[in-house]
Amino acid sequence: MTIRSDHLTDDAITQFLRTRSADPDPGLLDDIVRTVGATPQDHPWLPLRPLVLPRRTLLVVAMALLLASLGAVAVGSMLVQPDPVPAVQQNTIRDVVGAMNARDLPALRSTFAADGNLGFPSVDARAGSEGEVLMSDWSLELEGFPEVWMGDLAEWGLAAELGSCRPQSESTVACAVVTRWHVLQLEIGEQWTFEFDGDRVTRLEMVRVDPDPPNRVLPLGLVDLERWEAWLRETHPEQAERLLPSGPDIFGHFYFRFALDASPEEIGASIREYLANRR
Amino acid sequence: MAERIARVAVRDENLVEAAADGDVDAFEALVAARLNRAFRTASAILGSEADAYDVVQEAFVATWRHLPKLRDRTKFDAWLNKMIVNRCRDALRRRRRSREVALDGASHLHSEDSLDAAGGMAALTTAFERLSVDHRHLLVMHHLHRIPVADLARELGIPEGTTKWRLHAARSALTRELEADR
Repeated sequence: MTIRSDHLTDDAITQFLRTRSADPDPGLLDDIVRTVGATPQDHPWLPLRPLVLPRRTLLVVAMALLLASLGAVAVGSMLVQPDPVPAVQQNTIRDVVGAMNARDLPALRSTFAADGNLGFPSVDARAGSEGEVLMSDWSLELEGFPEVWMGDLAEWGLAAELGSCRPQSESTVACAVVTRWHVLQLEIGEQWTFEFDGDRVTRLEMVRVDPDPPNRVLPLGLVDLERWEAWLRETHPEQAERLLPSGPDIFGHFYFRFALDASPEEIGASIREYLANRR
Repeated sequence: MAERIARVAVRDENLVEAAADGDVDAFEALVAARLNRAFRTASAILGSEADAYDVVQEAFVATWRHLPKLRDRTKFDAWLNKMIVNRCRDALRRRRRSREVALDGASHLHSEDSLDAAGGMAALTTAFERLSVDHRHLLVMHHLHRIPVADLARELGIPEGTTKWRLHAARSALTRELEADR
């Protein structure tokens, strides 16, 4: 079987992958089960045993706890300084945000490692930890993807504002970021987690943490965007068919262009109409 | 057939629920049903049985550890896939750092294969090993495990159109890498 690029058939790929893959060693299952038996699980919460106390005692305990907490916060804020983010990582983070705001793909690529990835929240927009995010990593090497994505940022008018950052480990930094999508009139709070290899980003995960910021500059949060969708379906059902995505996509409410028939301008105009009616 | 699939899905959900509550036997049943495919996926992506052994073990142990935090238990397989692919990515990164030479795919060939076949396989190995982990993973899932696009989209938790696009991109990248060697 001589493989030439113009004769690369499905069968050739299948045959190649068969020769490259192998069945597991029979001892692997035992190894996994043995290790798992000695590994505790991470729980999202700690179960508390119910306490039965008289109401007055509860009130006193609650007051004491409240005073102790306030005292601890006051003293703690004077004594405890958060670990600083190393300057080299801070600079890269600023460069990433700057490149996205400037729609500068070469500049963005230069901040990432060669096999760097962007991680997006999947269908569940509130997904946070590694355990909850689904298959939503997009490689910057993926043909066509970074260009399309950067084009999307431009069309929806993204402006990202970097807030405070804190290190999660030597190679991981989490930052609060406000993202403003001017065409959608939408503003939300996100957490961007940067994983580093030296001064290069190997993975940037963007997760929504505040879908409805109370002190926002733009008029809509995600909740309001849903209200606009409901208004559009009710008042302009035919337009809604075309303007709204038929199902949740990888960007959820961000209307990834790949899944849309309508242009951002049409969607922006409809949102402006909704806002005018709302007033 | 549909009824059988539904029964298996319910059984799997029950096993995931029990495993999330700390039941090691339930977790063993989940692993046993998935180990073969997980290992074949990792070994095809990495081209090394030793690395695949470590990656698959790490992925299943991490799955066990974080399972109580998985909110949607029906997404177990998508989540496991993600664990395996991320660990394959880490393994390749480690390999590059330690300047190890990747295994030549031709070493897996059966003795009856011709020299011509060996040459073709070697070219494909070189081209495949230049692909990103995501591209390798998609090609493995679709071409080795024969998973249709619609099922693959469901398993990966992404829209069908996006899956088609990504598969097309992976296939194009492989062709391009083969051409680069001509």
